[in-house]
Amino acid sequence: MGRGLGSAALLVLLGACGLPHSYVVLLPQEGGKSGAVEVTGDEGKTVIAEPWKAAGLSGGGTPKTVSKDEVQKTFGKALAAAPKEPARFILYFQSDTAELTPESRKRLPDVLAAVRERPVPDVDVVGHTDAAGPESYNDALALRRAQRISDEVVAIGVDRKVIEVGSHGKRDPLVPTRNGVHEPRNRRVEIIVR
Amino acid sequence: MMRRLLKAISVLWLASVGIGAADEPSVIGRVKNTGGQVSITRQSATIPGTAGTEVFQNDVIQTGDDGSLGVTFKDGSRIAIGPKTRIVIDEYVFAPREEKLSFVTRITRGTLLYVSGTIAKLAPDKTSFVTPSGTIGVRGTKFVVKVGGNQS
Repeated sequence: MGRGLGSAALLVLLGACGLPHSYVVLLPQEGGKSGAVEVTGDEGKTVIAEPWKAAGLSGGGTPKTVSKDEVQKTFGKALAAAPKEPARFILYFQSDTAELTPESRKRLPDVLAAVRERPVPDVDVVGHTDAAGPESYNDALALRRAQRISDEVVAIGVDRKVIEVGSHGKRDPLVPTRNGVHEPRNRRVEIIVR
Repeated sequence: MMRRLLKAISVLWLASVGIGAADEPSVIGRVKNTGGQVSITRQSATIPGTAGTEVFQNDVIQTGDDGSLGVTFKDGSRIAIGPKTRIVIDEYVFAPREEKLSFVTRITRGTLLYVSGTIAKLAPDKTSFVTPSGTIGVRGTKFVVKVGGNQS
């Protein structure tokens, strides 16, 4: 009897759908892996490692399953306001030049499309080189590559004001090599469209 | 192949964006879209939040009864909030070259969606959401959180 009353009281506390007033729901992430969150509060610590599980923000207790409908009902406005996932591009260059490889040149329209899909885009364009040649030379070459790409995307319709150009020289190789090594995969510009 | 490529890019990307001079307030993100009533309080001034508005550390972002807003941060992290929500970006540092990374957001009421970016990938223990009743630690992920009831 006392037990029944306890459960009833608990149900009232948790509200209609079995969740407390304040809670977190882990969602599946684009690309599969959904990570985990850890809630730490007055009542202890709870780890949610499975999507569509919820836990109260006071910590303690076991995560509960929440339906997509419930999440949509409570969080619909926030979900609808989510900005687009940033788009990333790597464009490759011919050795010791700011000339794109023919394959990479074909990707420029995709960059433009990603910019156009976003009402207020931010674009980072960062140049890189392989490990052949001195650092100062490569810093300049990487910057030249980034500026060239910036010019090229501006020429096809991207507003220059949204672009930030940078150079990392040979310091951030995609494929780590010993100094002095020629590596086509490191001769590149990375573009992030946010 | 594509996934490997994307992973490689995101790993590289970590090193790609620094922040400005330490003492100068630097832009940490930009409002990408809004609906309804949205305001941003910076120091003592309050401005309406609209698509394109820049976001700085310590900004207080609030929505009205029908308000919503989405922000993309420099590291690719994204936050979106629903109606009757109040959040404060308590800490945002994205200087991977100097290994300085942190992202602490406070939500005092309402609903919020978070999708992790580079900071959470590189420094999961420096990424957290503070609520009136507990703290959410992030391990590279996407979640929604609601702070409701009588808490303020």
